[in-house]
Amino acid sequence: MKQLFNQLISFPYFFKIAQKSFPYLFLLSILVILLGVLWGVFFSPVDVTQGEVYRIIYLHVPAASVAQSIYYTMVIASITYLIWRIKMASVFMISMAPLGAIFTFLALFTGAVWGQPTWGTWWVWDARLTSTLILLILYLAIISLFSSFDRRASTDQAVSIVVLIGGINLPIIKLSVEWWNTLHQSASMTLSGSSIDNEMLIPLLISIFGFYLYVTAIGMRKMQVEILKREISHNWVKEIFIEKR
Amino acid sequence: MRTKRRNRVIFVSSLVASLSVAFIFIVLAMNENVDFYYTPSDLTSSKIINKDSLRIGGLVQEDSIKISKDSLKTNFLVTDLENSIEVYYEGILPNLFKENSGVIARGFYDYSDGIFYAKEILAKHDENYIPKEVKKALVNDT
Amino acid sequence: MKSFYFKTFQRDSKVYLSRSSSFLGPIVFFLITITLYPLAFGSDEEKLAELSAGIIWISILLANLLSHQFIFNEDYKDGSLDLVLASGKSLFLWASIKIFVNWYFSSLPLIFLSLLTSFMFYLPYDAALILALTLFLGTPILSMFGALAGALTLERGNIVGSSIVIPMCLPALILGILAIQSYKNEELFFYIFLLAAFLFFSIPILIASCLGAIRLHFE
Repeated sequence: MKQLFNQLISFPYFFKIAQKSFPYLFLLSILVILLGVLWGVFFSPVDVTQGEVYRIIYLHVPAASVAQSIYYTMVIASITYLIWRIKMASVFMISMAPLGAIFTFLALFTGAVWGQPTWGTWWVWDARLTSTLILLILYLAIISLFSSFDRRASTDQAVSIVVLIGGINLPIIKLSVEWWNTLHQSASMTLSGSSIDNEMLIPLLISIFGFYLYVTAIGMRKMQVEILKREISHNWVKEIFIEKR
Repeated sequence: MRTKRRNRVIFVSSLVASLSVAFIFIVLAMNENVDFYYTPSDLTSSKIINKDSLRIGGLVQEDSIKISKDSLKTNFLVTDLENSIEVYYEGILPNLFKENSGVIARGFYDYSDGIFYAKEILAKHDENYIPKEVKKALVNDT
Repeated sequence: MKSFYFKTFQRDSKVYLSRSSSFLGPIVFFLITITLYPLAFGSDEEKLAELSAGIIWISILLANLLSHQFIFNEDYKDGSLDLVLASGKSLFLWASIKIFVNWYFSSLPLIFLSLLTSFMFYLPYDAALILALTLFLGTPILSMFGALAGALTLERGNIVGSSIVIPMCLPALILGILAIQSYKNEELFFYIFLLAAFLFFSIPILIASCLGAIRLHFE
């Protein structure tokens, strides 16, 4: 177990693994997303109150879920970096932040499209929406931090401090915004069960799974790029690319 | 070494002190009973809520929606299945606004005539997603 | 023999008082921003009274951003930060004092000023007192987040610092404004207590992360 962990956080080993597994993972994720979304859009039943409109759930919920999960994994990575100085953790944070920003934007966008017919407005300053918007701002602020230092190590440390403080603060922001305004329906899926009918739930779960696979694949690719940027002058990089020729 | 230990003592003691003060404040806050949203029963009970702006939530009562033909004025009853309150609203209603579905109204409650004057109406769709056929079957069963 | 910490306090206070830009900068900024609002929204009494709490809070938040770079930047430039780090004194206490002095000279005057200006925005007297109380609890949070942003961007004070501070400060802003808006309701104390809890929760965590951020410039 420990050996596996050590191998995963070593740049050359991770790079090779990612290089091999990326095509399969990427293809699989596209297939799963297509399966989930197409099933949801064309074959799942019509919702009784919302009609056809609800089908955007198959994009909205996975995007929102991925957007939040990315932040939590980044918090874990930041703690790892601050305590053990594992470089892979900072590579992870820096690669995932842009993905998080994109998916947060996607969640907001699909949410707006969904809100227009159901709530009667593209945007309300409601708790869930506002805190998602803040999540997007936080992602963008973290990304803008990437280029504000001269030294690599300073950037890594600054990013992990901001990610960690943001991670502690995010639930507080959420709560305070909730006191401020709430309209968004409560969570449909909890650990104890789901209030979504099975026929609708299964494609949704497939779609969520597909989004996670996609983020894993693209995240791995982005981490490879980040590793190359850092290790470009190392021998193992040269070896890999000379071998290929 | 001694200074290092002393510095650590300073840090840890202030950490513990301020976190416990924070904790005390959270407990104090939780002891305050706060309603962020009122039900019709809250408003019709004897206790008077003196607020310029508050939110009520409930279901739109069946056969209670009266929409005037030449203007955007609407009257309807919001119920929590025990008590109901008349709500007056002037403006465009959201699509999901219909009888027996959830609604949130923001505005103020006039105790003198017992009418809630809403400034904003939001339809709250619930977290349940049910296919049409299943719903029909459910209704037929009961 | 005065202690190191007391001297830090004295020296920083003198620096603030001797330099009009660091002392008056936020005040001038605050006054000019709150003047913009009536010019933009009109001088309607009712409208301004409704907006006043938010206007004053937002203006103070923005004015606070101006003074952040002063907290650690000068010490970094003239090299005294190196000496403090090497001295073996409690950095936690030292940073707390520096942040306190910054708050004392840039936020406290604004709190008094906001009491005066609240009457220009037709805020009721009771609400104005609550406003001052929420600012009293909220501005130290702003100062600490600002200190963190300043510590992160010691090398070049840039806009990135501000864009990190503002989203993090949101709970303080929201709780403060909610408290003012419910100044005659029973929820008032709920929000005040929560704001206080947020303050005391932030103190150790933010000051410790300030130190972490400072250290990364010396690694």
